[in-house]
Amino acid sequence: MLAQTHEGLYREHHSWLTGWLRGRLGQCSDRAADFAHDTFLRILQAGERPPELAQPRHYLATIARGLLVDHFRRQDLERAWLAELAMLPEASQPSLEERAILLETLCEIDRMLDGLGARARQAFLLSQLDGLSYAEIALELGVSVSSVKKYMHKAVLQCLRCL
Amino acid sequence: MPALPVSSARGSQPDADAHLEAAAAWYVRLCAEDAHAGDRAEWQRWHDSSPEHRSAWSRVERMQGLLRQAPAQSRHALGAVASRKSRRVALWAGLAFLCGLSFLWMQAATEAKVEWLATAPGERRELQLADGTRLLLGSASRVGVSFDAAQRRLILQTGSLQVVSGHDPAHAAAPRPLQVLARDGVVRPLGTRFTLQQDATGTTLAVQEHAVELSQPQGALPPLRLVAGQRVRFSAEARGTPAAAQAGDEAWTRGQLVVLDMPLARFASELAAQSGRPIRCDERIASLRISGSYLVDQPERSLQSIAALHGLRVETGADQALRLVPRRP
Repeated sequence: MLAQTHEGLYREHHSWLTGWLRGRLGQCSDRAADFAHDTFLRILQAGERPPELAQPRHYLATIARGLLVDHFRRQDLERAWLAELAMLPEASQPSLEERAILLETLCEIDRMLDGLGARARQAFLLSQLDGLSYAEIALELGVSVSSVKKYMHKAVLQCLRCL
Repeated sequence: MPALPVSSARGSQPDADAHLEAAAAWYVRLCAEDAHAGDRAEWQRWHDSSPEHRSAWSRVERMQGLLRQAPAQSRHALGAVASRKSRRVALWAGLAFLCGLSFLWMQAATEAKVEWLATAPGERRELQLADGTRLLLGSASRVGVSFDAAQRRLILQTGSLQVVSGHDPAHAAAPRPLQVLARDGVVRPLGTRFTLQQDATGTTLAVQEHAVELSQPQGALPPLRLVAGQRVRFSAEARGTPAAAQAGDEAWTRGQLVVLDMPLARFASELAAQSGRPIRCDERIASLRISGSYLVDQPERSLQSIAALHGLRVETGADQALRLVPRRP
């Protein structure tokens, strides 16, 4: 098989990838094109030459799928956060600009905790963001204090590994 | 342990990871409410004893830095969005909650006696309950009233309901909380007047006086406080952004249908639902846009005024059904 160039990869598969993305995004063709663009950008950033590919479309779809998952995850998080913000008095609402920066921080924390079990995640958030004691967290989660410590250890270790 | 790749840039992996383990253990110990000065001194000795320890601890500091930047309310947002892996768990928790809510319904419906109130299509009924709460039921609606010594519950099964909450004078010393259990969520009035309209795709809640709190346990959404002049549209799992209330939200309580730029076919089915009279429109004019305020109790007159404005004709069928058609076929 011939060594692929970025250009060749783009020329041969761009419209297929856009179609594949459109199938997943519904009829929103603008966004499908954006995601296709981001996918090729991602490959371009990875190296001078794309890797030798036996199944280039499979490879493209894998990267595009990852981008979609991140995108929707971010949307979920933003929605949940905005719903929380809506309950604050107007005076303490962050500006649009502040929001964009804060949302970035939020996504970063979320990525750091991704894959943790629900209880370890809750224990970590209650301790580190709400300042609850381990005994209070144990009450909140209905588990023993020693379990809370185990959850905390698991969560902190994962964070340290990500950073 | 999560199968995350260990950053490959630093040190030989097994050792580096052991140092991270130690750093995590130290951090968890120092965060405990019973951590004391001795722990801190011991940590300091560990920290200072090797560059690998210091490097591992620098990640703890990075983590703390990130958490310090976390915006207000982020704990709830992060807590509401489950880990990808535990989505399935969240789904089950949601189902359990849903069962909880239906249990609440069933409990309300079986334990305490429930008195059911219903209206026929085209009927609107106003009534006052023993606690002073006033209810207005819209067309084709069914509402259960379940009061006991501890609480007051209303169950909106179908249709539209306006509630003007009463002060419960008989229980002035310990007022019983009032709750409206709707299909898509639970509304807790805070001394108020509000409307709820349930249709096939969701529920519209609009507040006319004071405030209400809407909770939707199924959707794992945080409670929402809605104040006078606001409305929100929601389904069991999702919720729109609160917006300014529309004239149409409350119009039905006065026997009016207030619409803005609504396709004629939809207007016809709304008017039919509220008036109880079968109403159809010719498909050639189905997408004509209608605006205005119409009387629900006089559907024929309402249609005549639309017909006059748009050059249409109203036909009355044998079954009393009204039909809007173009003037020239």
